[in-house]
Amino acid sequence: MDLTLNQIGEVAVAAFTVDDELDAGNAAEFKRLMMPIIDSHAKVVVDLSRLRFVDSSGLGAFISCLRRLNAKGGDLKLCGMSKQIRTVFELVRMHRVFSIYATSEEAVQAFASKPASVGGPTG
Amino acid sequence: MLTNPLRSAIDAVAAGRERESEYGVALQRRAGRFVTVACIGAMALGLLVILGWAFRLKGLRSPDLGEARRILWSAIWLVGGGLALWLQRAPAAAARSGGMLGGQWLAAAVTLSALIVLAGVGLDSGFGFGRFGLPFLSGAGAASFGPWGGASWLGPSVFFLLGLALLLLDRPPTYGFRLLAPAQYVAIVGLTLVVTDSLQLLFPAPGLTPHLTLPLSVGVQLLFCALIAARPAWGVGALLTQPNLGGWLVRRMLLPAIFFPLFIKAIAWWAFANGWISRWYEAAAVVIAITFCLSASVLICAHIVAKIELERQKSMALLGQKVTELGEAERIAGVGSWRWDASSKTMIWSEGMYRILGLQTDQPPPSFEAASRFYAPESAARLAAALERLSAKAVPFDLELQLAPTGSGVRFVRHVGEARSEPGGRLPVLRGSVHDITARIANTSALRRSISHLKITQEITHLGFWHLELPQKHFTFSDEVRHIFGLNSVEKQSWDDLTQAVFPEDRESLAKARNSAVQGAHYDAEYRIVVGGVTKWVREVAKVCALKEGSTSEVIGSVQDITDRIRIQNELMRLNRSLRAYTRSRSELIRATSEQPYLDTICRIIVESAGYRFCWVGKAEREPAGTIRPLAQAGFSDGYLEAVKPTWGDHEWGRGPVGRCIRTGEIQVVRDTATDPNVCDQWRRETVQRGYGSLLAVPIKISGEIFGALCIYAAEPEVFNHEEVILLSELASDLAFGVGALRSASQKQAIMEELKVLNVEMDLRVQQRTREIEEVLHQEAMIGFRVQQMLLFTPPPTNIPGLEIAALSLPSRRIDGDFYDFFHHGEDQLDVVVADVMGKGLQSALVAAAAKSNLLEALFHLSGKRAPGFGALPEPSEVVTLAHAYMSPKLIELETFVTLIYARFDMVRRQLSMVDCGHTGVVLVRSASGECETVMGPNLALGISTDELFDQVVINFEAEDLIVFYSDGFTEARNANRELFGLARFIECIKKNRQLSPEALVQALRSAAKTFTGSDQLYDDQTCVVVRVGAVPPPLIRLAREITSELRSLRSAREFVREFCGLVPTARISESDVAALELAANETVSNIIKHAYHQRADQKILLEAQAYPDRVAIEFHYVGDRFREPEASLPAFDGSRDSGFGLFLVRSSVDQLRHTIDDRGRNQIDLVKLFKP
Repeated sequence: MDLTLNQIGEVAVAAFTVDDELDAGNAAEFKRLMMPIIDSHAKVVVDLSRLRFVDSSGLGAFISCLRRLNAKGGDLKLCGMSKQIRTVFELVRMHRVFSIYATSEEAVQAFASKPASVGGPTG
Repeated sequence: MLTNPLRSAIDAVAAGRERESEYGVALQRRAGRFVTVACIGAMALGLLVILGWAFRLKGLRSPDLGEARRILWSAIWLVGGGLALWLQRAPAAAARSGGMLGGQWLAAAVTLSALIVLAGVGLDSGFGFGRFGLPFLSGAGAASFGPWGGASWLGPSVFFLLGLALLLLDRPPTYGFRLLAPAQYVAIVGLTLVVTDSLQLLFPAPGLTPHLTLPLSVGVQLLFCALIAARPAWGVGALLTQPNLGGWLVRRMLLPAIFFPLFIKAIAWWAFANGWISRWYEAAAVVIAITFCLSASVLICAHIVAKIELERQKSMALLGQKVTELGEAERIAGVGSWRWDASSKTMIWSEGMYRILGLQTDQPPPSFEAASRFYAPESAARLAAALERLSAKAVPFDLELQLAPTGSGVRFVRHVGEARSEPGGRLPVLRGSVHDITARIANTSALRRSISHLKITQEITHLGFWHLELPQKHFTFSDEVRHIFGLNSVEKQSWDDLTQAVFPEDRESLAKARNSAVQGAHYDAEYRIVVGGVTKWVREVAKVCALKEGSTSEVIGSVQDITDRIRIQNELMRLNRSLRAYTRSRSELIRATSEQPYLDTICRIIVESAGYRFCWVGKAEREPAGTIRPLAQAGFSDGYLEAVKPTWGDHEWGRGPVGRCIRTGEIQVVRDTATDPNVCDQWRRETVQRGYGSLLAVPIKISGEIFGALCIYAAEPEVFNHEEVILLSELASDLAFGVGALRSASQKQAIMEELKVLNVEMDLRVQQRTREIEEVLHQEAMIGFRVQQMLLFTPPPTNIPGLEIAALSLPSRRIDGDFYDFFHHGEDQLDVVVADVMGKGLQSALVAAAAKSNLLEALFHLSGKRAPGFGALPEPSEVVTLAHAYMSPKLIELETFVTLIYARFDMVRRQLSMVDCGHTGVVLVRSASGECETVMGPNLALGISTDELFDQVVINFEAEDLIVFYSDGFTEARNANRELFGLARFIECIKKNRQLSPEALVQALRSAAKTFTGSDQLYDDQTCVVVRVGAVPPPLIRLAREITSELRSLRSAREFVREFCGLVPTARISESDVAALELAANETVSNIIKHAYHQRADQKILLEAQAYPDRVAIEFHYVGDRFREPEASLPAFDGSRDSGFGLFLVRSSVDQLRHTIDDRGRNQIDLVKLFKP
């Protein structure tokens, strides 16, 4: 697993470099990769456009990251979800917890327009 | 010839004694003769010596021995002594005479003179015996003394002893001289002196001369020997003359013992004198001779004594045996004897005496006085008197005496005594014998008692005996015979007495019978006798007994007074006839239809069956008053009724017995028409003239009123006794009943007709009312039936894929306790319930409804506790257990129970899980084999026990298998013969129709049961549910893969799902379905790794996917822990938790989730995704 990190303003945009799947086998690795980003940024966007599958462990990893960011006043926004991924999020109502955007730009912009501490669903 | 040894011995002894006795007498005679000869010889020798002295005859003088005077004196003494002995030769006791006295005087003179001479010798010699160193052999003395003329003392000494012996001749042996008499002692001393002196004659020695010359010496010796033998009863005399062994020995041995040593001595002396032998040999010869003589004597005596002792011992043994046998004989005979010798005052008792009187035999016999204590006082006195007479006057006695009572009871003896003189005894000897006669006395007493009993028995039974001896015609009879024939007791008994008393008419036949009896014919006669004007009946039986052949015989007969028996016999016979009449009249009573024939028949029966002379029935008429109208009659009447014109009016003619009977309503009896004082003379004449001896008139009462009278006439008087009157009264009362019944018969008939009409009317009303009630009941039942059908019977579901179901329930009473129900859980599982409540009717239906409700409640309660959709269904056993917990207390209280099958069809696993609670089980028809099997469970019915644990049975089924649920209403249906339809017929019907659809099969079963019972009527509910399993289509696609239990394998699982779904036509499955399955499979494998294998990476998980036309199913097989999902929990939807979504995701992604165990025992999780239509 590998993540690319783009710094757009004070927003860190992380993206999967290759098509990947997030499950119990690699959720921990994902969280380990995300930790430095979360620690150094308050506003994080994860681009999921290259993520093909996510399971409950993957969901848990996202929630864990979100809770860490929220704890220090930051926020985590998601973007680029495929339909399959979004279905999983919706099954467990996580689309209400995470701010999900179509593209990373929209996400970054959303940080600009709104205080980081207040996240809300947009789509 | 046999000889008795004892007898022989005794005879021999007796003969010997007799011979000895004779021999003894002969010996005594011989001794007497010897004494006489010795006396004469001595006197002759003395005289010769005197003659020789006087006439100096040299031949008669001694060969110059001593002084001539000395010889003269000796000769004189010798003659005197011989004369004295001759005079006393007979014993003094036998002859006291002058001769004896003279003899004594002579003896005294000899003694005295010899003593004087001896004194002279002594004075002359100074009585110095010392001078005679060897006195007898010293020879002539130097001095002379008077007439004696010599100093020799031997001569006078010898004659002094001779005189003394003669003086003491009749002195008997005394205590101090037991063996010999005094005279014999003296004679032996004298003889010894003389013999010693005479030895000098035989063996002359130089310088020695004998004191007596040879004639004198021989004479004196003869006299001394005669003195010894003169009294043969005493001492040596007795010994010599004894006829026994002692005497024999003395006689044989004495002389050889004396003379043999002398003879030897003489020879030895002769040889010595001639110088042939020395003096030593001479002395030795004498010693040897004496020794030999003594030894021989001893040996001979011992031999003889030993031989005789042996004989004596034999005899004693025989005697002892005889004594023993005598004792035994006495014991057997119960006899004892005694003997009293008054002379010796000795009493001897035999052993029997001791035994009878109960004494020990080691005691001495008691005296007569002491023995009296063995007798009872009175007997003792009689015995004492008898013994007194016996001893005083020798009067014999023979007494029966009673012994003194002892522990063994009273005993009696016969005592006989006599006195008899025995030879030689001065007083008579008394003898007696005692015989124990207790048994005889007892027998005699028993005989007397027996005779007494016989006499009493004869008196009681009126049975006497007589005895006739032929040809003497000596006749005796017992007292009872005398009593029966009324004879005086002092009269002489004679045969004529008995014959005279015989009733005259019976005498001839009796005489014939007796005559033939004497010839030996059986004699048993009954005849009448007249005693004191009274006629008696007696029975006489006799038997002839021949005493000796042809000569004497006796006839023994018995006579019994049987008057009472004959009288009772006659009465009984009459009573029997009356009873027969009564019985026949009763049967007539039943048959009778009209009055007149009935009365005629009764009268005829009384005359014919009961044997009466005449009988009639009269009716007491009111008009004309007092008349009696005869209604029926039978028997000999000869115009009697016309003659007496019976009437019951209260006047003289109407006071006859019949009139009185009707007037008073009481039974009237005329015991003897000839003597009865209560009838008028005319009536008496009419009755006697027609031979009517007695009359009975019984009133006939109908409903308490006198109807008339039944009149019966008997030929003999005294016929109607008490029993007969009772019987005939009964007959009359039957007659009254019969007449009354016949008279009311028509009235009864009318009432019966009326009753019939009323009955018919009543029947019609009852039928009408019954129909109405039935209608109401039917309507109620129909309402109940409809309610029941709605409540209890749910139509079978039709939407279960792969199952065809049909059900039928026919209640026996419209409302009943059978029910069935179906609970389906999705398309894969269906619960079928078939139950039967005990009993019928409304209660059963209500209990069934409650049971159904409880089952549903239990099912829903248990399902609700599980999260929906994931292994949630409770097992049938759990449902039944909970439902049972609800209802068992109520069922027990209601005292009813429910049999039930709760079965679950699992179409995925192709299994039937079943709980059979006391129900019938199910019939399973295998499509592959066509075989039927019945499957039953082990549980009790619900409501039997609150603690029941319910076991579940699992059956695998295949496509086209048939499962039939039924109630016992089918198998226990019965036909008209009460035969059961039975499980065998039921199964046979199923097999035959198994190709039919379930609906058609249900109907076929119903039809078969109906045909069997032959009726529409059901006796029990018939419930039946038939389930046919449909064929399962094969999966369209099938794919399997095994992955390891590491988290990396999640990707493989997802790839497997995607690969499999890629094989499914896209028309059926959408991309979202694939994604959902992918997610569900991922989460499932993730759970298995986490919860079953606990992150172990080296385990296996098998994935199997199957695609059907309507769905996709994925199975996960694994081995580790079987994990349980949290009960119906939901994840945190607010993002507050970062885990706990997995199960929710699975449930949300698939249509079915189920945890099971696969056929290899591994855990299995099934995910099913249905295709969207």
